[in-house]
Amino acid sequence: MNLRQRTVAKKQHSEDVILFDVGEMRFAIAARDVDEIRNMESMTARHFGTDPCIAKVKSTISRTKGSAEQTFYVVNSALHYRLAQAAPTRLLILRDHPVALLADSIDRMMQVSTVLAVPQAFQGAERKWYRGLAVMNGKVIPMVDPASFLGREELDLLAGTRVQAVTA
Amino acid sequence: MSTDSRFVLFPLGNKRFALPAAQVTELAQPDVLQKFPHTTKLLAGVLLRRGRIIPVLDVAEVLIGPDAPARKFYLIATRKFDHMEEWTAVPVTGECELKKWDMIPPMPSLPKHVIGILSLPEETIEVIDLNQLAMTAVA
Repeated sequence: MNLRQRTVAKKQHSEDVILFDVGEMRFAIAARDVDEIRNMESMTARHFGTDPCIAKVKSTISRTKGSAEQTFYVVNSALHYRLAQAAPTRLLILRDHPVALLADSIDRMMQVSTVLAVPQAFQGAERKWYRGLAVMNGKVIPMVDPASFLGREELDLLAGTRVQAVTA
Repeated sequence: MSTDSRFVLFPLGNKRFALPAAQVTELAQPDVLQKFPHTTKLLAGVLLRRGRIIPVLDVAEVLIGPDAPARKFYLIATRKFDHMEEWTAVPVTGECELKKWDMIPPMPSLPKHVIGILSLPEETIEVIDLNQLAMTAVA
């Protein structure tokens, strides 16, 4: 059968990625997209209203970098990926995005040489969620797109919400 | 009537369905189904075969309902998308058969994913359009 090979978004150079787990699922994120990995201390619970678009954000975390105070929206990755269970213990603070991502655990850092395009059969939100699929040691691991956690509309909603700090 | 009258008949439980043989690449042994979060209906995950990532389209629930028996093999077929073709694995419950037969048009009452009928002496088999079936599941 004359099957045309898929055109894929291949990265021929190797790329450092961080593998992290959420529930039973493993994900990869480019190491260059992560600014810091830390524990969950110092998170501030907040109420951003009832809009389901931003229901995955229930807290923020702040840090001082240089002379600037930076605030990151903490994204519940289990809610983002519609996973039933998760037990977050770590935060991945992203670079170039005001997002801190909850993860159950950080597995390790690896190098990947090829990131394949998400097959066309996948037609849902996953086309935004993932930059592609990496194959590592025979496992297919989605490479998350850091821009997918909070889009422009969601960031505007969060910024426009009258935020209330939640007292425990 | 189909210009290419060869079909691959595949079982799902007690029924058999068919795909045009030109769309079928191979019948594969069970393989490790790998899963990651997604929202596309009918997709059960992916297979990694010979360096390819192959989506697994589990059509049993649409074709025979929720009580389908365990799937034993994967029928690898091609699906056409806008400008490309892509392999898709369809889990089936038993061995498949290549059959040369004339396809007749489907009755209007049948679902859109049925693109024709093979009226064999002892059974009537629906010929399936995988793309239409996937769209039906989304609708």
